[in-house]
Amino acid sequence: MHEFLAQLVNGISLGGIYALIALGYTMVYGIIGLINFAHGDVYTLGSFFALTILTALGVSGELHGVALVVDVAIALIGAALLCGIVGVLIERLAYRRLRNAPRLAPLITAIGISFILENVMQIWKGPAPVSFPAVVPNPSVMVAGVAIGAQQFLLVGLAVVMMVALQLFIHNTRLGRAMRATAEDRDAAQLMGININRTIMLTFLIGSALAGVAGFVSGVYYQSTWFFNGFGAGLKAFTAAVLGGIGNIAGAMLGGFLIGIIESFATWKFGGQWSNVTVFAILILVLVFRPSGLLGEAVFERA
Amino acid sequence: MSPSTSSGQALLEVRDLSVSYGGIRALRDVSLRVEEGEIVALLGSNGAGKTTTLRAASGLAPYSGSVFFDGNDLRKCSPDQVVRLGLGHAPEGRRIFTRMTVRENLALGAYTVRSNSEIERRLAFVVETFPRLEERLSQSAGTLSGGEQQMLAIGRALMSAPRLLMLDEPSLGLAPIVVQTIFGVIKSLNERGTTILLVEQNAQQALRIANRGYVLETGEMRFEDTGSALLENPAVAQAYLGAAPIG
Repeated sequence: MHEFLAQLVNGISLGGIYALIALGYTMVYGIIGLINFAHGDVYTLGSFFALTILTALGVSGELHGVALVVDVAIALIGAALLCGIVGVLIERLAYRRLRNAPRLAPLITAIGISFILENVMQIWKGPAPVSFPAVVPNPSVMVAGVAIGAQQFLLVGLAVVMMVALQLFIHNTRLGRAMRATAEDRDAAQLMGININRTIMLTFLIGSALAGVAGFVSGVYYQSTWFFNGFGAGLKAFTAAVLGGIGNIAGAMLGGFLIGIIESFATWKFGGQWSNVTVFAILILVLVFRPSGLLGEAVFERA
Repeated sequence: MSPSTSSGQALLEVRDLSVSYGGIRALRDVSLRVEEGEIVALLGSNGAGKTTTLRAASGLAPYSGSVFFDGNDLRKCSPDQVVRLGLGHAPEGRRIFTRMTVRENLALGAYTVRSNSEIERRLAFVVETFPRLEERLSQSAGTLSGGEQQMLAIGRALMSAPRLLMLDEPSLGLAPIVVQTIFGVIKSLNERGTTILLVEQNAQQALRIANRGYVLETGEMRFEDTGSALLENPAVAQAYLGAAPIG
């Protein structure tokens, strides 16, 4: 029972990262019908940006007090902002001109962008894993006999706050309404006076910024990253988005936490070498038996 | 008033409009004009190019030729800018946002408006025009009946307070009594100052409320005349009214 709870806590932490990444997949799919395979690499970029910012600030270890809050905030917001800009640039330079092309063209382009980002990051920080400073102290509290670290609270708390903020934005603001309208019917949205280029740009900005947040928290949590990190994490976050129902924002959050928990339990019960097999077997099962996902409506209802 | 309108130019001026879809000509050199205050009917059978004409005017379909609205060259405008100029469009098939509430749909219609009190004022006008929508404001738009969806589509277009409202087949698939309601609303909107360009297959009914009408046939303009003259034109009657003209 004790081990079960410990694995559950691990799974939720891991799931928070997957959920943040999955949001970007699902938002972009919802609005332009593209599976943005470069998204996982934007997440890695988030770790790299955060690391670079922390290094520039002269941070190499644990922080306390005001410095903790200020430096963490700068690294977090900086990574989110820079990733958001990268996402917007990718859309502007690569995907926009393919918006009315056959669906395979932007998909292949996304894979190409993914390769470009991975190679750029490999040149930037080298092929080996790079260590990330443990900026956030990690005292733990015992809950029902399980030690939960401060980093886990930070990670999950940050993920939940981001998700709630996103939901509020999407459902209660003029721009959020414009994003939903564009996702449902692009032509009709334009007839409302919505500039869909700007709306799609905003979607990439938010989705990529959330990946940047995920990149920062995963760096803090694992204290390590490498240029290829986003490949696996991206695929699992994509699986999470599909499990929840791709295009559905609440589904991406649910799917992210579920995939994190499943992976964590698979590692515990079957061993680490089985965790990927388990996760991707679930992807196949979902695609075969419930392609619309747990919370999704009909997936291919878009005209 | 801008100088262009005072110089006698029509509110909407379409000249030599041609549109192709993947090598297939949907429209060939179509010209039409809508004067301020008019109801103009654009008729024709299925596939004649009526919807394409409206889509081109709204900037949703690429075209050659020219479209001027209130003296502005729409070729230079994106679809959202066209709406801001005051050209409203309730599209074919209603295209309401089915996953949103009726109220959200109407709010989106006034997307270009920032002032909440102005949005509320327009909302009040729309629910006064279509009282059925008032009871349904918080309901999901996908659950509305066909007639209510059409009312929502027109109401949503009205939320932008257009000077010219283009309506694409507002009577399609509706019960006769609902059709009467819709046509009554179109007439009363026009009396209150909104210019109307009405695309219809229901030619009889459209011509009865229209000042003038145009008839498209396989992408080309065939007839242009006053509403009553088109109603009495035997060639039009035979092809589009399905019966002898009603005297």
